[in-house]
Amino acid sequence: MMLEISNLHTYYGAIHALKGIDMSVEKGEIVSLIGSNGAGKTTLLNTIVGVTNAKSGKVVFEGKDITNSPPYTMTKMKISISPEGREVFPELTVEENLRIGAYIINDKKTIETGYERVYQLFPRLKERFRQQAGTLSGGEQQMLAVGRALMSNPDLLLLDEPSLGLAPNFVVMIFDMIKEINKQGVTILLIEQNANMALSTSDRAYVIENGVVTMSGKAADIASDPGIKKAYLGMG
Amino acid sequence: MLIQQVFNGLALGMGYALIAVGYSLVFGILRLVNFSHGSIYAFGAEMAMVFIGFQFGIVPGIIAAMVLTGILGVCIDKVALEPLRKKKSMPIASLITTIGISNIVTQLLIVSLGSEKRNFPALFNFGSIQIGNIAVSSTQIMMCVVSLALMMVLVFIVYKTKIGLAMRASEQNAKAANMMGINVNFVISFTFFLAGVSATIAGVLVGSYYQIVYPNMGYMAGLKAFAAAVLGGIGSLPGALLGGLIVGVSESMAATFLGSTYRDSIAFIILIIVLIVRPHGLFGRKGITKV
Repeated sequence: MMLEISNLHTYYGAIHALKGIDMSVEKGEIVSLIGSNGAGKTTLLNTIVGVTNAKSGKVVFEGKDITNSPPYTMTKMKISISPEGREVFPELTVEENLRIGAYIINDKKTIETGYERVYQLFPRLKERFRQQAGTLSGGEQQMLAVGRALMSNPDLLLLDEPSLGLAPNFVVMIFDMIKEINKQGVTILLIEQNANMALSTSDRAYVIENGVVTMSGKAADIASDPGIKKAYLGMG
Repeated sequence: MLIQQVFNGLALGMGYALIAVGYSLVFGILRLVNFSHGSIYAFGAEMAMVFIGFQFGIVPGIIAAMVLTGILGVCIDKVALEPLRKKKSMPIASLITTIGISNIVTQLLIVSLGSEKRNFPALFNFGSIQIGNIAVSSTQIMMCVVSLALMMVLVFIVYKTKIGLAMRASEQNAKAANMMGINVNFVISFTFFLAGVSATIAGVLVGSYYQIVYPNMGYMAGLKAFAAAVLGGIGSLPGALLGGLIVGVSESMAATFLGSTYRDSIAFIILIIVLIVRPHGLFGRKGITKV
């Protein structure tokens, strides 16, 4: 197992946000987490990377216990995140944003290779590399957030709502890119409200409701479950 | 007379500018006005005097004072401010803490060195240059040269180095910077260190200009430099420079033409006028928000 989460409990003040989550991600997979707003998906991701501390339970990555490690140590362990709401640095240029993504890398050549990889995936970013990130459109900022996360050359990429607020053509493009990045050997854990797209892109999926995993399995099986169809896919 | 006062004011203003950058650097990254910065400046000047007194050379003495004062800044953050950030306490708690620290540092100086004014060596006194009827002393020239050089070093660090990029990223979005592998607390320590070093250089320059240092020297100078930072647009390095010069020149003008009773208030009068016309200061960016 690449990532193994066992019996994870997280509180926000008095609110019990995660109530004993068990889940795992295997090397090479695309795994998605689906669930409605406030179900605990972002809390789970924040707990994995140490933005929020777990009360109890374990997060193990490549055999190493990383529970409650500070966020800045993640890229060194080859875990990278494209956070909810993109969180690009608005007054830095596109290129500087990408450079920040590769902050832990000192080798110039590796950084150059990183730029090339991102510009190949998102040619639009190359056209705008001297532009301030705050002046980009929402879709472009999303590309930048994903590209920035790739710059540290991660083994595991965490994507939080990459399609949120994007025009339909951008949504299709972002999901194509996710598949492409996965083909390059990056394991992906994806959080999505767009359950349709998420399930058709992933190998496996977990459904989270009120801080508990209510269903897990092959993405195709979950997509054909009548309850899921009704609750998340707008069918039935 | 007028031009002579402009020159005097410019030299003095450079000193304020070097203190003002300390306010600006820390404010940029923490959105916190570090009111202990004036006392850090006094600490730097006093330490320079102490180390120079040890007779192991003026330059090594100043460098030792710079390092020690930088470390003081880092300690203030680690001991008193970082715990508050960890607890996500309200901003006003940090603000009052810095005011408290300012008093503690000043009192420590008084306890250990005494409260009296002491002579500081005139380090750059090589005579003066006479242009027409204006006399510019070598001390004034050195103040301008050293300050400008330090400003350029700071601009280089912030805009051309990796740690500078990390400073700018942390300033805009500390949470995201942290997730990208930047140890934001280290970046904050580095910023406090830079602020302490700049304050020491200001202390040495101003100390050798007036040939006097004392524990309370940071009180008024700190407030005026803070006014200079806000005047120029807090968070902006060029703003700190311009703000410092305006405060310095206006002060020396006021002392000459209005009487020396006005010299300490003119900076604040100008500050109020500028803020009414340009609320973000001269170089301030609009819509700077804490993310």
